[in-house]
Amino acid sequence: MRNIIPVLVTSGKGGTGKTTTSINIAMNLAERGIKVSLLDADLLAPNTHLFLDVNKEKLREAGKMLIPLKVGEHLEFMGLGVFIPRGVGVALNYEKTADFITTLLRFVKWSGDYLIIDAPPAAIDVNVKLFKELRGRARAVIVGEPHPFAIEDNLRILDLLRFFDIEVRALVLNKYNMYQEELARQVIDEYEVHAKRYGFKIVKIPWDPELQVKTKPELFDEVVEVVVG
Amino acid sequence: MSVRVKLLSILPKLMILGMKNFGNLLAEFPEAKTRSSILRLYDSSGNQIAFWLGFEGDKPIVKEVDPGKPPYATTEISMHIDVFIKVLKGKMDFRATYLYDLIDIKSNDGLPVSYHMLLWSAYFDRLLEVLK
Repeated sequence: MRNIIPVLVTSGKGGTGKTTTSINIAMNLAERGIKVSLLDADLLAPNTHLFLDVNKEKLREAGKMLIPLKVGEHLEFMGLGVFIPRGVGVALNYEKTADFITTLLRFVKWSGDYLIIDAPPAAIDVNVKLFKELRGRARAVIVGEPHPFAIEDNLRILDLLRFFDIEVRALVLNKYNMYQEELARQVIDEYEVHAKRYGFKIVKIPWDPELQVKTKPELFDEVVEVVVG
Repeated sequence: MSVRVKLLSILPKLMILGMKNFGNLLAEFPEAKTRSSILRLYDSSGNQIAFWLGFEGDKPIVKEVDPGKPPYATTEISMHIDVFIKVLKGKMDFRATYLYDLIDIKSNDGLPVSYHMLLWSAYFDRLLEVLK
């Protein structure tokens, strides 16, 4: 993967907004004129392509490497979802999932300066495979929500990332204003203890229903600055 | 050998039809010339039939081979004849057969199995376009 900088967008549990965060980080970087590659590695729910106009693209190859799909002047994409007919159950066992991750990381001709990776959720075997591949050379963004279950799950993923020497740059607290204020405050206080200890930044992204249907890269300026800086 | 497997005597012509009608196949997949495949089909009685698919120069070649002693190929794919027929009829997407664990793909050239699966899926997409 030459000198590309991998940025894992991960979380302790599903449904926190990893895909939304991944796409918006990628688009924000692209709008800054930075060459960016976007990889949908969430093989449990490969949905990243739904926000991108890539459905008519065909697979191409050059020199035993797959060519990523061009999305814009500075953005390219690859993911399993775009090649699977809508509605087909993606029932991959660990062996097949790990094999796909190898293909997507090592056998795609990525040309970006940053590789934004929409990772599978939770501290599971597939993430161990992914983190091993990226050991010591990736940055990470954890996406969570401010409630007690999420903090337990995110502490597990934080431990796994640290074990594989992946530098956590930011914790995105997504939809933070949806939760009961006092409860959210307590959770954020605890996150801040870990943020101080491990040197990552907490970035709050408010609930915005438009994010379900369109990208708003400008909302992710703070995350991008932490990731790139 | 079952009638269904006997019917597959048309298979080499069918597969080569797809390869010849790819048009821009070698432009999109220039490495195709360096690859070869064993396609192995079996029925519920244990009968098997196998084909070697590859190129000699720019010329696509499909030939029946001994399923017990197939020649070297960069990839091998095995599936039940009913699955193959469903794929050819467009009743089941080739990728779905892999995701549902209905086919086996073996890589002999060091590339990941999933890489070969994506190449095979591109092949079947084009073959189905020809059959339409």
